[in-house]
Amino acid sequence: MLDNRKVISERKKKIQRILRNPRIVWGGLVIVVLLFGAVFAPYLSSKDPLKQNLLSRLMAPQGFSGPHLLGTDSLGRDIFSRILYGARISLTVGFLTVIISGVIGVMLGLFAGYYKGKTDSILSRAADIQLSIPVIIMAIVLLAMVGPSVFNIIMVMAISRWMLYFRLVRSLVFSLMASPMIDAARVIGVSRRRLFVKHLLANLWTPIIVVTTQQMAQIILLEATLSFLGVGIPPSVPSWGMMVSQGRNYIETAWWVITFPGLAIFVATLAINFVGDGLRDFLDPRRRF
Amino acid sequence: MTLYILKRLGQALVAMFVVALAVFLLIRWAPGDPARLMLPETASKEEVEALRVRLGLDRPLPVQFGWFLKDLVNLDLGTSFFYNRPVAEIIGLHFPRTALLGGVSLVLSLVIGIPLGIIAAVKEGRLADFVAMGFAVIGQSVPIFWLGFMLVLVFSIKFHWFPTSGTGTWQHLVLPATTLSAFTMALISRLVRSGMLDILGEDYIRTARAKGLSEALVILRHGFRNLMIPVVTVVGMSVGVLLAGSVVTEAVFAWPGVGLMIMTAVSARDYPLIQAFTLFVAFVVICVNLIVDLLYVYLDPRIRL
Repeated sequence: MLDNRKVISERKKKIQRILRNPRIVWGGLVIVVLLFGAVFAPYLSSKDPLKQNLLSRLMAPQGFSGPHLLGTDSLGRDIFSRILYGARISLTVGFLTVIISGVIGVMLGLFAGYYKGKTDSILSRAADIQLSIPVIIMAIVLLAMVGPSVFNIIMVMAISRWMLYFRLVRSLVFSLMASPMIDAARVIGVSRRRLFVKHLLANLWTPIIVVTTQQMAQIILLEATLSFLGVGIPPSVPSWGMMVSQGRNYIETAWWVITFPGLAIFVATLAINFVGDGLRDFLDPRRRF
Repeated sequence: MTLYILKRLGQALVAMFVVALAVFLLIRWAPGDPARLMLPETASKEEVEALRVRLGLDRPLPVQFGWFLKDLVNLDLGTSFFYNRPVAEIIGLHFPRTALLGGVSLVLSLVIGIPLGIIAAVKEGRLADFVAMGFAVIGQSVPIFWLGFMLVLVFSIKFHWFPTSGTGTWQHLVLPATTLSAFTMALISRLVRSGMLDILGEDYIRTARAKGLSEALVILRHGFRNLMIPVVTVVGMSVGVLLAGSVVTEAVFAWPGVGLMIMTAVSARDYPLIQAFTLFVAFVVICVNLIVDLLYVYLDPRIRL
């Protein structure tokens, strides 16, 4: 029998080792701050992110000495407030997209790796074909056609990114299927569903989590880029990419309008990438992703 | 080998057909009528309908697709709704500008990315590695459109060194190329680093060191030569990344290449131009992948196809 106390102390050691990795700690800290800002946006800023005030347009950042910490945009809206509410959009869209594309990609990858043959070759060809058009170009064409909305951007990005999970899971399942563990499971008559969940999926969590973290950063960047190009989040919702695009006309006179939202995108992506890299090095010391 | 190339070309044809069909259907199923967008607001229903007939948009989809394929086989990509000129001509006009921007960016990212990756690998775990990989993670995290504007803010508006947008002189190229190369530079340095780390663990490197070669010779002669495979891989990957990045960079710097062209095309519902451009991109990416795979055989005789 497994000694329960031993398992717990093993886990404790693992957590301690993670906490000693500076990239995971600092990146994680920034993510926590961003999440906190997104969740408690109404309490952190008394300003309505949508409220226009043409009397106080393009006001320079005032720091803590005035009402507008990071200044106001061309319609007099508070930039700090808009960044906090923009974090809600970016993080929600990123999270949902990663989940949806992950579920699609992992499931198809499991099928392709398990059934091989025709199933595998059809799915693999589909992935190859989709990879032959860069994601941004595909997303621009699709989104320009269906129109900008939060739902549309999540669906389009999820559909454009399932292949990365698919390829990873497929190749890992191939190697797992060759292991004696699977033969043993089959010999004792494990059901197919149980085999998928308990034997295959259970051994794939580590790489899936690493890829998900890296994907999350890429998707936040992609969403910001599409919103900047005017095909992503609709202009009525405060989003970081759209704020940069709205600030470009005032770049010569009001640098802060364009600078701060972009900085928010940069910091969020950087923090998630740090955690992703840290996790990858931690979980896969050979660094071969 | 010949058989392999033929097989790959066959697969490429199938891929191009699927891309053509998918894009064709997607843009036609989506809401938005090109005829309506081409005519002024005041145009009557009859005028819109007449234009739809002239463009062939009133016919059933299979018929339209049949025409499209027939023209495609004759290497005719169709006529742009928006520009009212052959699509091939429009792409031929815009693509060289994107190719110039992308080419300069690729050279820039190779010239900086490769040494950065090698240094990081040789000094693994030390300060140089830390700094180089710090640059790389920044390059992969910065939104390139914002980077472009920040460069404009500092180097155009504050110091007046380079123009803010447009094309013409080499000065016009500096900021867009720097912006576009940020991501690929990061990608290249990271992959070169991991490739070099693999090479440095090989037996022949130990042999070279054991026979008393200087460390510089070991790295430059035995290491660098074998680095060609990861470099070719990453250059292949970069082509697609640069094409996608050029859409954003061109939007920031008003660089009149295919990126700006496709943005105009999608908002005008210019079906022939959208179809031709996506096919063109798929063609370029598929060709690059094939060339990369063939180069592997040339670079490493152990690889069999």
